[in-house]
Amino acid sequence: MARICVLGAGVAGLSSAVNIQSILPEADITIIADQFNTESTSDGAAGNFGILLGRTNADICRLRCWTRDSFEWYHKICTSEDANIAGIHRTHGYQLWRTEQPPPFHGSFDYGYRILSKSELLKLPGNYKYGWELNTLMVECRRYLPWLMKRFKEKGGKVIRKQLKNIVEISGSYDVLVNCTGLGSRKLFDDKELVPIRGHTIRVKAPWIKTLFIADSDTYIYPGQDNVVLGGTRQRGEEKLDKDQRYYDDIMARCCSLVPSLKNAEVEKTWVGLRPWRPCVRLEVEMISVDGGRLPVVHNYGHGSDGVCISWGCGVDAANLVKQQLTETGSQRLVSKL
Amino acid sequence: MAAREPSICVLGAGVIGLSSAVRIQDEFPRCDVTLLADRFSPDTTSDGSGGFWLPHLVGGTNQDSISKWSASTLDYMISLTKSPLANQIGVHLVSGYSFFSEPQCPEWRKLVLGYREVTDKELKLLLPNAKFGVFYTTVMINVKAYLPWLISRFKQKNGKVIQSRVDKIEDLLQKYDIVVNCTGIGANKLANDSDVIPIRGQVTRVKAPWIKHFMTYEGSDEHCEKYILPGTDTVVLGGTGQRGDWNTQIDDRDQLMIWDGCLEMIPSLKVVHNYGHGGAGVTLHWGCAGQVVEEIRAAIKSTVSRL
Repeated sequence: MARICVLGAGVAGLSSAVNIQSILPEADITIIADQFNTESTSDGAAGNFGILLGRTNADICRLRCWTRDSFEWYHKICTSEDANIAGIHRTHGYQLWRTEQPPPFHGSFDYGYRILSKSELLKLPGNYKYGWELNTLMVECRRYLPWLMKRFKEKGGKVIRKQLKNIVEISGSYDVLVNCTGLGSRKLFDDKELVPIRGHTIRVKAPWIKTLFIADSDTYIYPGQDNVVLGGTRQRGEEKLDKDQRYYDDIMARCCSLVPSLKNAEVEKTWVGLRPWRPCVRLEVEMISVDGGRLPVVHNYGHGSDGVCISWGCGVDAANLVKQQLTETGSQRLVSKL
Repeated sequence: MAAREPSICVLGAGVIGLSSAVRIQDEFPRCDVTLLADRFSPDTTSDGSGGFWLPHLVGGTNQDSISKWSASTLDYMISLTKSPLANQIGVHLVSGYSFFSEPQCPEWRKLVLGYREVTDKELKLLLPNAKFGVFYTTVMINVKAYLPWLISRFKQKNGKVIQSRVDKIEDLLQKYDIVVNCTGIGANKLANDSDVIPIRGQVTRVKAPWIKHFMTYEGSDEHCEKYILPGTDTVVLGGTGQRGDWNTQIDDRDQLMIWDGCLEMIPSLKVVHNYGHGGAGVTLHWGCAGQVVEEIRAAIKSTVSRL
């Protein structure tokens, strides 16, 4: 029986683990991580399903598959009885710009976008010259991660809470590793291309807000199930996780200029975290040498701001790579006996 | 003889009465305006309504008037959503789908924001049983917040509020020069108007905060459309439209029918708990109040000219 270890319990790790279970039901799968649920980077993400080509760091061809597979999955959950428990719901709103922009990449995959007319732009907040109506969904990790984890455990998946300093600590115990450690890969796999991009969000109680707004791509208002997520910031290379009030005040001011009634919304919590950005999402197999042998590692990390959005599609891809490795390794073993 | 400013009494404190009273005050600041009603929020008919802007069940009223009044109301509501006090006032933008069993071309399509017909893909994904659908953005009112806000505006401008039951409008004309009758279904008795009939509405309010869109479906059978309206704190599920039915008690069969109809549209509603009420509509209130103002203006002119 194949022994598989998934490193990381954020949205990438859990999505990979659940997908592997689905196509390799006989496999023994263990998730090893030091951060779970609210401790994870994924928890801070608003979870808006949306991708802009100008910002994404994935190969377009693969991105199409990941986006399409992810949306199909979220849509299925969204229209099922599980929607609210899994933390996925439909959203609608507006993305506003000062100048004309190329169409949103995700527009071909979600429920559809529509360029706004001049008269609509006049009725909407701010003085924006261009924009589109968005019809998409929100995947909230606060509920989605525990929902995935429950499915994983129900099918016999094992979980170990542990902080790994080096791969050799566990390399002898598994046939395939799946690396979903995000920024953790800087140390664990010596990846020098990873760059943290710091983000701040504020979650407020504003149940009268049903419409999402994104302005200039960096100011956003996402109506979540339990609260409304306001953001944000994109600070490349910044790593300090102290909560600097100046950034929160600035976010609040920008959001209030879009939707003035947010001024009276009660702040529930503030958050700061690091997006795991890489010039290109790493979703591929690497053979590493350990203990005189070769161990396949399926990497699935470095998703930048798109982590939650494409998590399911990447998980499908990663699971296929794992299965491929096990099949190849199996046939190699046969060959070497001849 | 010095002309005295007429005294005005607005009868009824639902959305029609309160908005009339407020607009009269705005237009005629020197007039004495009194609001008289036996029931106030949260006990008015308006309080039970879903608070959703959409011209609906307006009988044979002239289409131009409906368009004028509803457009004026919607524009006003949209401007209120941009206020920092939008939540206290109780207004918010909401978008969603209306599905039908056959193609439609409603007059109000020109009034709402971003009206468009749904694509075949959307129809298949969202409600395969329907034959036609439209998507648009409108406003929802949290009536339980809106009515108190209107009353406080009214009082701030020295409006008088009297809680009392009136059996004959004629009695009021002893005290006031002009009476504005906003008694809704009460006019059936009070104004002896047998053309005023009840259309019974029943709704259920549930806690389902993950629902951010509205969805309505007008099927091909005789029953009233089904709707899911995301309010500030609860989602309103409805409805019924029973002509001539005066029953103000919750009907279990109606409840079941509403529930089944709404579950078909959004399966995740299955998990919610519920508590219920009964209802009607708020789409026309601001525009109608504007009409009232015009009528009063004309009435005052004719009163003055008689002196």
